[in-house]
Amino acid sequence: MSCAEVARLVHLELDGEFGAEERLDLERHLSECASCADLARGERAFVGRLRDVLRADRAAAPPALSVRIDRALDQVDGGARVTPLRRILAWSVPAAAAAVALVAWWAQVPDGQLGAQMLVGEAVARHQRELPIEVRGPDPEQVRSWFRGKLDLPVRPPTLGQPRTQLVGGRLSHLGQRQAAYLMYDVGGSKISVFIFDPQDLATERMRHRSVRGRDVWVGAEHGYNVALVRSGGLGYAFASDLDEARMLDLISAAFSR
Amino acid sequence: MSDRRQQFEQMALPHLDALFATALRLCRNDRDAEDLVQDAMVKAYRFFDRFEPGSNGRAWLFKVMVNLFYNRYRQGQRERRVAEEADAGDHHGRYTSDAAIRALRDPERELLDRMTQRDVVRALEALPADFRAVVVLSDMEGFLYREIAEILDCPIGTVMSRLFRGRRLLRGMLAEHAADAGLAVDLTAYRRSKGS
Repeated sequence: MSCAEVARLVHLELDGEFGAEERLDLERHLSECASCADLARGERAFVGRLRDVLRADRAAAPPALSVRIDRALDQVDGGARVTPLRRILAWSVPAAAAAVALVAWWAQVPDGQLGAQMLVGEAVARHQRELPIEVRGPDPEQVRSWFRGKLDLPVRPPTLGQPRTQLVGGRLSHLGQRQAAYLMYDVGGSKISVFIFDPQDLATERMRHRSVRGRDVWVGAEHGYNVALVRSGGLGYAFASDLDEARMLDLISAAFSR
Repeated sequence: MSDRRQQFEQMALPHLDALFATALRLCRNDRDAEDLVQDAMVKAYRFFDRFEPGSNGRAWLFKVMVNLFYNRYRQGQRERRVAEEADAGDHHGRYTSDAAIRALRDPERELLDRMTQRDVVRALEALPADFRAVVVLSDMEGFLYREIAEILDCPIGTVMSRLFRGRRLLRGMLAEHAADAGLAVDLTAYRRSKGS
Protein backbone atom coordinates (compact mmCIF):
# COMPACT_ATOMS: atom_id res chain seq x y z
CA MET A 1 0.00 0.00 0.00
CA SER A 2 1.43 3.37 -0.96
CA CYS A 3 0.80 6.73 0.74
CA ALA A 4 -0.79 7.96 -2.51
CA GLU A 5 -3.54 5.34 -2.22
CA VAL A 6 -4.41 5.99 1.40
CA ALA A 7 -6.93 8.83 1.01
CA ARG A 8 -9.09 6.83 -1.43
CA LEU A 9 -8.78 3.64 0.59
CA VAL A 10 -9.94 5.43 3.75
CA HIS A 11 -13.13 6.39 1.88
CA LEU A 12 -13.70 2.77 0.81
CA GLU A 13 -13.31 1.70 4.40
CA LEU A 14 -15.67 4.46 5.63
CA ASP A 15 -18.25 3.35 3.07
CA GLY A 16 -18.25 -0.23 4.33
CA GLU A 17 -16.66 -1.56 1.14
CA PHE A 18 -13.59 -3.08 2.80
CA GLY A 19 -13.06 -6.66 3.91
CA ALA A 20 -11.39 -7.55 7.22
CA GLU A 21 -8.04 -8.24 5.56
CA GLU A 22 -8.04 -4.94 3.65
CA ARG A 23 -8.89 -3.08 6.84
CA LEU A 24 -5.95 -4.71 8.60
CA ASP A 25 -3.61 -3.70 5.75
CA LEU A 26 -4.81 -0.11 5.98
CA GLU A 27 -4.49 0.02 9.78
CA ARG A 28 -0.97 -1.45 9.52
CA HIS A 29 0.04 1.29 7.10
CA LEU A 30 -1.53 4.01 9.27
CA SER A 31 0.25 2.74 12.37
CA GLU A 32 3.58 3.03 10.54
CA CYS A 33 3.03 6.36 8.74
CA ALA A 34 2.22 9.43 10.86
CA SER A 35 1.42 11.60 7.83
CA CYS A 36 -1.14 9.11 6.47
CA ALA A 37 -2.57 8.53 9.95
CA ASP A 38 -3.19 12.26 10.21
CA LEU A 39 -4.71 12.37 6.73
CA ALA A 40 -6.97 9.43 7.59
CA ARG A 41 -8.10 11.12 10.81
CA GLY A 42 -9.04 14.23 8.82
CA GLU A 43 -10.92 12.24 6.17
CA ARG A 44 -12.81 10.22 8.76
CA ALA A 45 -13.72 13.32 10.76
CA PHE A 46 -14.93 15.17 7.66
CA VAL A 47 -17.03 12.33 6.28
CA GLY A 48 -18.42 11.58 9.76
CA ARG A 49 -19.43 15.19 10.26
CA LEU A 50 -20.84 15.42 6.73
CA ARG A 51 -23.03 12.38 7.36
CA ASP A 52 -24.19 13.69 10.74
CA VAL A 53 -25.20 16.99 9.19
CA LEU A 54 -26.91 15.51 6.12
CA ARG A 55 -28.84 12.94 8.16
CA ALA A 56 -29.89 15.52 10.76
CA ASP A 57 -31.09 17.74 7.93
CA ARG A 58 -33.23 15.06 6.25
CA ALA A 59 -36.66 16.53 5.57
CA ALA A 60 -39.80 14.43 6.00
CA ALA A 61 -42.26 14.33 3.11
CA PRO A 62 -44.97 16.97 3.61
CA PRO A 63 -48.39 15.45 4.47
CA ALA A 64 -49.95 17.03 1.39
CA LEU A 65 -47.58 14.99 -0.79
CA SER A 66 -49.10 11.70 0.45
CA VAL A 67 -52.50 13.05 -0.50
CA ARG A 68 -51.28 14.09 -3.96
CA ILE A 69 -49.71 10.68 -4.57
CA ASP A 70 -52.81 8.82 -3.39
CA ARG A 71 -54.89 10.89 -5.78
CA ALA A 72 -52.42 10.39 -8.64
CA LEU A 73 -52.46 6.61 -8.13
CA ASP A 74 -56.27 6.74 -8.14
CA GLN A 75 -56.03 8.41 -11.53
CA VAL A 76 -53.65 5.70 -12.79
CA ASP A 77 -56.12 3.06 -11.57
CA GLY A 78 -58.81 4.93 -13.46
CA GLY A 79 -56.69 4.83 -16.63
CA ALA A 80 -55.99 8.59 -16.60
CA ARG A 81 -52.77 10.29 -17.55
CA VAL A 82 -51.39 12.11 -14.52
CA THR A 83 -49.99 15.61 -14.73
CA PRO A 84 -49.33 17.50 -11.51
CA LEU A 85 -51.85 20.32 -11.31
CA ARG A 86 -49.17 22.76 -10.26
CA ARG A 87 -47.26 22.11 -13.45
CA ILE A 88 -50.40 22.68 -15.53
CA LEU A 89 -50.96 25.95 -13.67
CA ALA A 90 -47.40 27.01 -14.38
CA TRP A 91 -47.88 26.75 -18.16
CA SER A 92 -49.94 29.80 -18.78
CA VAL A 93 -53.03 31.67 -17.70
CA PRO A 94 -55.27 30.15 -20.44
CA ALA A 95 -53.88 26.69 -19.64
CA ALA A 96 -54.53 27.31 -15.94
CA ALA A 97 -58.12 28.36 -16.65
CA ALA A 98 -58.55 25.25 -18.81
CA ALA A 99 -57.16 23.09 -16.00
CA VAL A 100 -59.59 24.56 -13.47
CA ALA A 101 -62.46 24.05 -15.91
CA LEU A 102 -61.33 20.45 -16.46
CA VAL A 103 -61.24 19.73 -12.73
CA ALA A 104 -64.67 21.32 -12.30
CA TRP A 105 -66.02 19.27 -15.22
CA TRP A 106 -64.62 16.10 -13.71
CA ALA A 107 -66.22 16.89 -10.37
CA GLN A 108 -69.49 17.80 -12.15
CA VAL A 109 -69.96 20.82 -9.89
CA PRO A 110 -69.25 24.53 -10.18
CA ASP A 111 -65.67 25.69 -9.45
CA GLY A 112 -64.70 25.36 -5.80
CA GLN A 113 -67.68 23.21 -4.84
CA LEU A 114 -67.55 19.68 -3.54
CA GLY A 115 -70.36 17.73 -5.16
CA ALA A 116 -72.39 15.29 -3.08
CA GLN A 117 -72.25 12.66 -5.80
CA MET A 118 -68.49 12.86 -5.93
CA LEU A 119 -68.22 12.87 -2.15
CA VAL A 120 -70.36 9.72 -1.83
CA GLY A 121 -68.43 7.98 -4.63
CA GLU A 122 -65.00 8.79 -3.21
CA ALA A 123 -65.98 8.02 0.40
CA VAL A 124 -67.29 4.60 -0.68
CA ALA A 125 -64.26 3.90 -2.91
CA ARG A 126 -61.85 4.62 -0.04
CA HIS A 127 -63.99 2.77 2.48
CA GLN A 128 -63.86 -0.37 0.31
CA ARG A 129 -60.08 -0.36 0.22
CA GLU A 130 -57.78 -1.69 2.90
CA LEU A 131 -55.79 1.54 3.05
CA PRO A 132 -52.62 1.43 5.17
CA ILE A 133 -53.05 3.18 8.52
CA GLU A 134 -50.56 5.95 9.29
CA VAL A 135 -51.49 6.41 12.96
CA ARG A 136 -52.89 3.64 15.10
CA GLY A 137 -55.74 3.92 17.60
CA PRO A 138 -57.41 3.33 19.91
CA ASP A 139 -56.35 6.46 21.82
CA PRO A 140 -58.25 9.40 20.20
CA GLU A 141 -55.86 11.90 21.74
CA GLN A 142 -52.87 10.20 20.13
CA VAL A 143 -54.63 10.14 16.75
CA ARG A 144 -55.66 13.76 17.14
CA SER A 145 -52.14 14.91 17.97
CA TRP A 146 -50.70 12.95 14.99
CA PHE A 147 -52.88 14.96 12.62
CA ARG A 148 -51.88 18.27 14.23
CA GLY A 149 -49.92 20.39 11.74
CA LYS A 150 -50.57 17.95 8.88
CA LEU A 151 -53.93 19.35 7.81
CA ASP A 152 -55.40 22.83 7.78
CA LEU A 153 -58.23 21.72 10.06
CA PRO A 154 -58.47 20.40 13.62
CA VAL A 155 -59.08 16.65 13.67
CA ARG A 156 -61.25 15.55 16.59
CA PRO A 157 -62.06 11.83 16.28
CA PRO A 158 -65.76 11.49 17.13
CA THR A 159 -66.79 9.08 19.88
CA LEU A 160 -69.28 6.72 18.30
CA GLY A 161 -70.76 5.66 21.66
CA GLN A 162 -71.70 2.10 20.74
CA PRO A 163 -70.72 -1.09 22.55
CA ARG A 164 -67.62 -2.84 21.17
CA THR A 165 -66.49 0.26 19.30
CA GLN A 166 -62.84 0.94 18.67
CA LEU A 167 -60.91 3.61 16.81
CA VAL A 168 -58.59 1.48 14.64
CA GLY A 169 -56.48 4.37 13.32
CA GLY A 170 -56.21 7.11 10.73
CA ARG A 171 -54.38 8.42 7.69
CA LEU A 172 -54.27 11.44 5.44
CA SER A 173 -56.75 11.27 2.60
CA HIS A 174 -58.77 13.52 0.35
CA LEU A 175 -62.25 14.05 -1.02
CA GLY A 176 -62.17 15.64 -4.44
CA GLN A 177 -59.44 18.25 -4.33
CA ARG A 178 -59.74 18.71 -0.56
CA GLN A 179 -57.51 17.26 2.06
CA ALA A 180 -59.30 15.06 4.56
CA ALA A 181 -58.51 13.08 7.68
CA TYR A 182 -59.54 9.46 7.28
CA LEU A 183 -60.47 7.58 10.46
CA MET A 184 -61.29 3.90 10.63
CA TYR A 185 -63.49 2.45 13.37
CA ASP A 186 -64.51 -1.07 14.24
CA VAL A 187 -68.09 -1.22 15.51
CA GLY A 188 -68.92 -4.74 16.64
CA GLY A 189 -66.92 -6.24 13.77
CA SER A 190 -68.17 -3.78 11.12
CA LYS A 191 -65.80 -1.28 9.58
CA ILE A 192 -66.85 2.38 9.69
CA SER A 193 -64.90 5.02 7.76
CA VAL A 194 -65.12 8.65 8.84
CA PHE A 195 -63.72 11.49 6.72
CA ILE A 196 -63.21 14.89 8.31
CA PHE A 197 -62.89 17.75 5.84
CA ASP A 198 -63.64 21.40 5.16
CA PRO A 199 -67.37 21.49 4.20
CA GLN A 200 -67.24 24.94 2.59
CA ASP A 201 -69.42 25.12 -0.55
CA LEU A 202 -70.50 21.53 -0.11
CA ALA A 203 -73.33 20.84 -2.54
CA THR A 204 -75.84 18.54 -0.80
CA GLU A 205 -78.92 19.04 -2.95
CA ARG A 206 -78.80 15.58 -4.51
CA MET A 207 -78.64 13.82 -1.13
CA ARG A 208 -81.59 12.81 1.02
CA HIS A 209 -82.14 15.00 4.05
CA ARG A 210 -82.68 13.52 7.52
CA SER A 211 -82.92 15.19 10.88
CA VAL A 212 -81.31 13.53 13.89
CA ARG A 213 -82.05 15.22 17.21
CA GLY A 214 -82.47 18.51 15.42
CA ARG A 215 -79.19 18.10 13.47
CA ASP A 216 -79.23 18.08 9.65
CA VAL A 217 -77.83 14.88 8.14
CA TRP A 218 -77.62 14.09 4.41
CA VAL A 219 -77.50 10.49 3.26
CA GLY A 220 -76.56 8.79 0.03
CA ALA A 221 -75.65 5.30 -1.13
CA GLU A 222 -73.40 3.64 -3.70
CA HIS A 223 -72.49 0.00 -4.41
CA GLY A 224 -74.49 -1.13 -1.36
CA TYR A 225 -72.68 1.19 1.06
CA ASN A 226 -74.33 4.05 2.92
CA VAL A 227 -72.76 7.46 3.34
CA ALA A 228 -74.03 9.99 5.87
CA LEU A 229 -72.86 13.54 6.01
CA VAL A 230 -73.07 15.94 8.94
CA ARG A 231 -71.57 19.30 9.87
CA SER A 232 -70.29 20.05 13.34
CA GLY A 233 -68.06 22.79 14.71
CA GLY A 234 -67.35 24.13 11.22
CA LEU A 235 -66.14 20.74 9.96
CA GLY A 236 -67.70 18.19 7.64
CA TYR A 237 -67.93 14.53 8.71
CA ALA A 238 -68.70 11.85 6.12
CA PHE A 239 -69.48 8.38 7.47
CA ALA A 240 -69.25 5.37 5.14
CA SER A 241 -70.16 1.79 6.03
CA ASP A 242 -72.26 -1.21 5.06
CA LEU A 243 -74.50 -0.62 8.10
CA ASP A 244 -78.10 0.18 7.29
CA GLU A 245 -79.21 3.79 7.35
CA ALA A 246 -80.94 3.57 10.75
CA ARG A 247 -77.79 2.29 12.45
CA MET A 248 -75.68 4.93 10.74
CA LEU A 249 -77.99 7.63 12.03
CA ASP A 250 -77.81 6.12 15.54
CA LEU A 251 -74.03 6.36 15.38
CA ILE A 252 -74.19 9.97 14.27
CA SER A 253 -76.71 10.78 16.93
CA ALA A 254 -74.42 9.32 19.60
CA ALA A 255 -71.31 10.97 18.16
CA PHE A 256 -72.70 14.50 18.02
CA SER A 257 -75.06 14.62 20.98
CA ARG A 258 -72.23 15.00 23.46
CA MET B 1 -58.42 -1.51 -3.36
CA SER B 2 -56.75 -3.81 -5.86
CA ASP B 3 -54.12 -6.26 -4.58
CA ARG B 4 -51.62 -4.61 -6.91
CA ARG B 5 -52.23 -1.16 -5.44
CA GLN B 6 -52.06 -2.54 -1.92
CA GLN B 7 -48.77 -4.36 -2.61
CA PHE B 8 -47.33 -1.25 -4.21
CA GLU B 9 -48.29 1.01 -1.30
CA GLN B 10 -46.94 -1.45 1.23
CA MET B 11 -43.63 -1.57 -0.61
CA ALA B 12 -43.33 2.11 -1.56
CA LEU B 13 -44.91 4.28 1.16
CA PRO B 14 -42.34 3.44 3.87
CA HIS B 15 -39.70 5.03 1.58
CA LEU B 16 -41.60 8.24 0.92
CA ASP B 17 -39.64 10.35 3.42
CA ALA B 18 -36.29 9.11 2.08
CA LEU B 19 -37.36 9.76 -1.51
CA PHE B 20 -38.50 13.27 -0.65
CA ALA B 21 -35.34 14.09 1.35
CA THR B 22 -33.22 13.00 -1.63
CA ALA B 23 -35.45 14.78 -4.15
CA LEU B 24 -35.11 17.98 -2.12
CA ARG B 25 -31.33 17.81 -2.31
CA LEU B 26 -31.39 16.98 -6.03
CA CYS B 27 -33.95 19.62 -7.05
CA ARG B 28 -32.95 22.19 -4.43
CA ASN B 29 -36.51 23.38 -3.89
CA ASP B 30 -39.66 21.93 -2.29
CA ARG B 31 -41.93 22.41 -5.27
CA ASP B 32 -39.83 20.50 -7.80
CA ALA B 33 -39.00 17.88 -5.17
CA GLU B 34 -42.69 17.19 -4.52
CA ASP B 35 -43.41 16.95 -8.26
CA LEU B 36 -40.43 14.64 -8.76
CA VAL B 37 -41.50 12.27 -5.97
CA GLN B 38 -45.10 12.22 -7.16
CA ASP B 39 -44.07 11.49 -10.74
CA ALA B 40 -41.63 8.82 -9.57
CA MET B 41 -44.35 7.10 -7.53
CA VAL B 42 -46.75 7.19 -10.49
CA LYS B 43 -44.08 5.80 -12.83
CA ALA B 44 -43.07 3.11 -10.35
CA TYR B 45 -46.74 2.15 -9.96
CA ARG B 46 -47.22 1.94 -13.72
CA PHE B 47 -44.15 -0.30 -14.03
CA PHE B 48 -44.72 -2.21 -10.79
CA ASP B 49 -45.09 -5.43 -12.80
CA ARG B 50 -41.37 -5.19 -13.60
CA PHE B 51 -40.44 -5.10 -9.92
CA GLU B 52 -39.36 -8.49 -8.62
CA PRO B 53 -40.96 -9.21 -5.24
CA GLY B 54 -38.30 -9.76 -2.60
CA SER B 55 -35.70 -7.61 -4.40
CA ASN B 56 -34.49 -4.24 -3.13
CA GLY B 57 -37.62 -2.06 -3.36
CA ARG B 58 -35.90 0.97 -1.90
CA ALA B 59 -33.12 0.94 -4.52
CA TRP B 60 -35.68 0.31 -7.28
CA LEU B 61 -37.76 3.35 -6.27
CA PHE B 62 -34.65 5.52 -6.05
CA LYS B 63 -33.58 4.33 -9.51
CA VAL B 64 -36.95 5.34 -10.97
CA MET B 65 -36.78 8.74 -9.26
CA VAL B 66 -33.14 9.53 -10.09
CA ASN B 67 -33.69 8.55 -13.73
CA LEU B 68 -36.65 10.90 -13.90
CA PHE B 69 -34.54 13.63 -12.34
CA TYR B 70 -31.81 13.21 -14.92
CA ASN B 71 -34.24 13.03 -17.82
CA ARG B 72 -36.43 15.90 -16.82
CA TYR B 73 -34.29 18.36 -14.96
CA ARG B 74 -30.84 17.89 -16.36
CA GLN B 75 -31.14 17.20 -20.05
CA GLY B 76 -28.99 19.62 -21.94
CA GLN B 77 -27.96 21.51 -18.84
CA ARG B 78 -24.51 22.88 -18.30
CA GLU B 79 -24.09 20.75 -15.19
CA ARG B 80 -23.51 17.68 -17.35
CA ARG B 81 -20.49 19.26 -19.00
CA VAL B 82 -19.04 20.37 -15.66
CA ALA B 83 -19.42 16.86 -14.27
CA GLU B 84 -17.83 15.30 -17.33
CA GLU B 85 -14.87 17.63 -17.08
CA ALA B 86 -14.46 16.78 -13.42
CA ASP B 87 -14.70 13.06 -14.21
CA ALA B 88 -11.99 13.43 -16.83
CA GLY B 89 -9.39 14.85 -14.47
CA ASP B 90 -8.55 16.51 -11.21
CA HIS B 91 -8.51 20.01 -12.62
CA HIS B 92 -11.92 21.17 -11.44
CA GLY B 93 -11.59 24.68 -10.07
CA ARG B 94 -12.55 23.81 -6.54
CA TYR B 95 -11.05 20.38 -6.37
CA THR B 96 -8.79 20.04 -3.35
CA SER B 97 -5.77 17.80 -3.83
CA ASP B 98 -4.35 15.31 -1.32
CA ALA B 99 -1.43 17.67 -0.74
CA ALA B 100 -3.73 20.58 0.04
CA ILE B 101 -5.81 18.39 2.33
CA ARG B 102 -2.65 17.31 4.15
CA ALA B 103 -1.55 20.93 4.54
CA LEU B 104 -5.00 21.99 5.68
CA ARG B 105 -5.68 19.16 8.06
CA ASP B 106 -5.24 20.91 11.42
CA PRO B 107 -7.02 24.15 10.55
CA GLU B 108 -9.71 21.98 8.98
CA ARG B 109 -10.46 20.28 12.25
CA GLU B 110 -11.52 23.64 13.54
CA LEU B 111 -13.48 24.17 10.34
CA LEU B 112 -15.31 20.89 10.94
CA ASP B 113 -16.42 21.99 14.38
CA ARG B 114 -17.66 25.28 13.04
CA MET B 115 -19.37 24.14 9.86
CA THR B 116 -23.09 24.57 10.24
CA GLN B 117 -25.89 22.59 8.69
CA ARG B 118 -26.65 25.57 6.48
CA ASP B 119 -23.07 25.77 5.21
CA VAL B 120 -23.06 22.09 4.31
CA VAL B 121 -26.42 22.20 2.56
CA ARG B 122 -25.40 25.29 0.62
CA ALA B 123 -22.13 23.67 -0.48
CA LEU B 124 -23.93 20.43 -1.38
CA GLU B 125 -26.44 22.30 -3.50
CA ALA B 126 -23.60 24.02 -5.34
CA LEU B 127 -22.10 20.66 -6.36
CA PRO B 128 -22.68 19.51 -9.96
CA ALA B 129 -25.68 17.14 -10.03
CA ASP B 130 -23.65 13.98 -10.73
CA PHE B 131 -21.55 14.48 -7.61
CA ARG B 132 -24.48 15.70 -5.54
CA ALA B 133 -26.49 12.58 -6.34
CA VAL B 134 -23.69 10.22 -5.31
CA VAL B 135 -22.91 12.10 -2.08
CA VAL B 136 -26.60 12.19 -1.11
CA LEU B 137 -27.18 8.52 -1.94
CA SER B 138 -24.10 7.47 0.02
CA ASP B 139 -23.72 9.92 2.90
CA MET B 140 -27.38 10.77 3.52
CA GLU B 141 -29.16 7.57 2.47
CA GLY B 142 -26.40 5.05 3.23
CA PHE B 143 -26.57 3.11 -0.05
CA LEU B 144 -23.65 0.80 -0.91
CA TYR B 145 -21.53 1.40 -4.02
CA ARG B 146 -23.16 -1.46 -5.95
CA GLU B 147 -26.64 -0.10 -5.11
CA ILE B 148 -25.66 3.41 -6.22
CA ALA B 149 -24.20 1.96 -9.43
CA GLU B 150 -27.52 0.20 -10.04
CA ILE B 151 -29.54 3.35 -9.25
CA LEU B 152 -27.41 5.55 -11.51
CA ASP B 153 -26.84 2.84 -14.09
CA CYS B 154 -23.08 3.37 -14.13
CA PRO B 155 -19.99 1.29 -13.25
CA ILE B 156 -18.95 0.98 -9.57
CA GLY B 157 -15.66 2.68 -10.44
CA THR B 158 -17.57 5.80 -11.49
CA VAL B 159 -19.47 5.78 -8.20
CA MET B 160 -16.22 5.54 -6.23
CA SER B 161 -14.60 8.28 -8.25
CA ARG B 162 -17.57 10.67 -8.08
CA LEU B 163 -18.06 10.11 -4.37
CA PHE B 164 -14.40 10.76 -3.57
CA ARG B 165 -14.29 13.84 -5.77
CA GLY B 166 -17.68 15.06 -4.63
CA ARG B 167 -16.56 14.97 -1.01
CA ARG B 168 -13.33 16.72 -1.92
CA LEU B 169 -15.23 19.42 -3.78
CA LEU B 170 -17.49 19.90 -0.79
CA ARG B 171 -14.54 20.12 1.52
CA GLY B 172 -12.86 22.68 -0.70
CA MET B 173 -16.03 24.77 -0.89
CA LEU B 174 -16.52 24.66 2.87
CA ALA B 175 -12.92 25.68 3.47
CA GLU B 176 -13.34 28.51 0.96
CA HIS B 177 -16.55 29.62 2.65
CA ALA B 178 -14.93 29.47 6.08
CA ALA B 179 -12.02 31.57 4.82
CA ASP B 180 -14.44 34.12 3.32
CA ALA B 181 -16.34 34.24 6.58
CA GLY B 182 -13.11 34.61 8.56
CA LEU B 183 -13.74 31.30 10.27
CA ALA B 184 -10.70 29.36 9.10
CA VAL B 185 -7.42 29.59 10.88
CA ASP B 186 -4.89 31.77 9.08
CA LEU B 187 -3.02 29.10 7.11
CA THR B 188 0.10 31.19 6.62
CA ALA B 189 0.34 31.94 10.32
CA TYR B 190 -0.26 28.29 11.06
CA ARG B 191 2.52 27.13 8.72
CA ARG B 192 4.87 29.75 10.17
CA SER B 193 4.14 28.51 13.69
CA LYS B 194 4.95 24.96 12.50
CA GLY B 195 8.20 26.20 10.94
CA SER B 196 7.24 24.99 7.44
